[in-house]
Amino acid sequence: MIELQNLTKSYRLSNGERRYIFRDLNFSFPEGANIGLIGRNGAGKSTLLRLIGGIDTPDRGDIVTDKRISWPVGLSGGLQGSLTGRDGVKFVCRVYGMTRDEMLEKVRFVQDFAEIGEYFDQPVKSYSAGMRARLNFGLSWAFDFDYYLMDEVGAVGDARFKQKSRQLMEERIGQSNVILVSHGMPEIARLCNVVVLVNDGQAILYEDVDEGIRAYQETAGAPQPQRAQTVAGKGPMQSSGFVAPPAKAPSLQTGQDPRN
Amino acid sequence: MTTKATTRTPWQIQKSVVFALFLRELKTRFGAYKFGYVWLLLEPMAHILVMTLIFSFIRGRALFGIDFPVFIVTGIVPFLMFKNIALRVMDGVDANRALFAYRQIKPMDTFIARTLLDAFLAFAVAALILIGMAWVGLDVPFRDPFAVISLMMILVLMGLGLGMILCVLTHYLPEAKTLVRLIFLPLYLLSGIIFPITMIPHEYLHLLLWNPLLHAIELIREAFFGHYRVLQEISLLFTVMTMLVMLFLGLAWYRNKRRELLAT
Repeated sequence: MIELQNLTKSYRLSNGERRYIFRDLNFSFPEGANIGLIGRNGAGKSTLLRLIGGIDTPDRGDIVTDKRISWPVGLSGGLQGSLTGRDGVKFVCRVYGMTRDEMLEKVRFVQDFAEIGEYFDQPVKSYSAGMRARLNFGLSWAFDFDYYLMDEVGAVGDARFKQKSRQLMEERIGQSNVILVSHGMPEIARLCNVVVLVNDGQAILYEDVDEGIRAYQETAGAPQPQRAQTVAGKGPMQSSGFVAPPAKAPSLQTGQDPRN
Repeated sequence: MTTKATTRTPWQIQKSVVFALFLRELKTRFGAYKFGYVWLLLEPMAHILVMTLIFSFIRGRALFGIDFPVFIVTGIVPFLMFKNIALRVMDGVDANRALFAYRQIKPMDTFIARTLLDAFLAFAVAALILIGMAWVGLDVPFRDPFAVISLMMILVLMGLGLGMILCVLTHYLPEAKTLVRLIFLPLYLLSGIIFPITMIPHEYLHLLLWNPLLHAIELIREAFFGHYRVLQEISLLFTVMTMLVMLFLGLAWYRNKRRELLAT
């Protein structure tokens, strides 16, 4: 169970005003489903993901859950420039209160998965962006969670690593669940059982993924470009109100910007 | 997943988080150097020894029958410990912001880990220096170890309290950080580290007596040397009360603002 209770979140703008992303939002995520969070840019999908992950805190209200929820997959929080990759992995293991044996097992897993060779024992600041990402993904998948939080499926590295990465992810999704933020509708359709459309501070649950995607495309198409089009040529354009949502990922495995 | 539906108690979580952070801080601070752990102790020792040498040279060797280097050490070690704890705790949230992505880690844990580390370092450094001084033939009486250690603990908690207050304050007022660091400089001179407080003209004394560090350091010396004369205005009660007030204010303010501290 993941439940949002009277969730209110706002940000202060530079001119001192407050912009509310959510105001007294009540919502209950369905049990045991892979959930796609969709919505326009700036609708609050990523914010919601961060709130669920406990990275950001709401102004008011609570997120109630009895599930084990991951940190956003691929996040680099545990690593620090002057420490080695191994130190970073061990640190996260310790935070999760693992025994020595469990820790060694996780370290081995990440080491095998990341395939960064001797760099595993070098300071993280000497890593390339790709190596860092490999390590972060390995670290995220090394732990067992009920829900994995993903902000775009940012597969990284060369073709072989991407393949391996995706395989592992799909294996994990078979056992656990994901909450996925994405603009890539094919991805949402492929991985998720339900979608939650975040729009105007509201969250609407669609049990039928296709229906949710359609609803999203209506909201996503609505602003400037679509409006101009519909006014210009009403009749023939109507069917193609279905065109590309903004910033749609060009292919399945891209859309890397994990901070979106 | 079926495997181990482990729900850890809050205490277990905090314990493992603080332990993890402690090791991380330790490694981060000196792990980069080849003889990191030696350097970890050498750096504060070098600082203290240089100060001690300079002031011993200026002031001569002994004072009221107390070896001057030992006198300095009994002042400088508690002062530096207090200062390090307060400043480290002040920076605890900013320096570890990326770590709060792990929901188990809360700012309080970074405060505790940093406090423990700096307290631990101060005790280790003090022990090494005192042993060294006794070894070269200086008089290191250490009359009342229990009282000295208790007073040090009071300073540890006071540093934690002040650090938390400063942490919340500088969250809203980042410019204050520089000012805070600057204030510790005159405080160095006003806490009776390099000269005994009895040498201060009487008309200014009542102002200096608002400084709790002065009280704590004088009390530590009294407990350490046995025959060291402290003014009757020096008060354990005042020291303890200051510590309690700072700790209470720090905890309360942090508790009240903890969501805002984390919000980005």
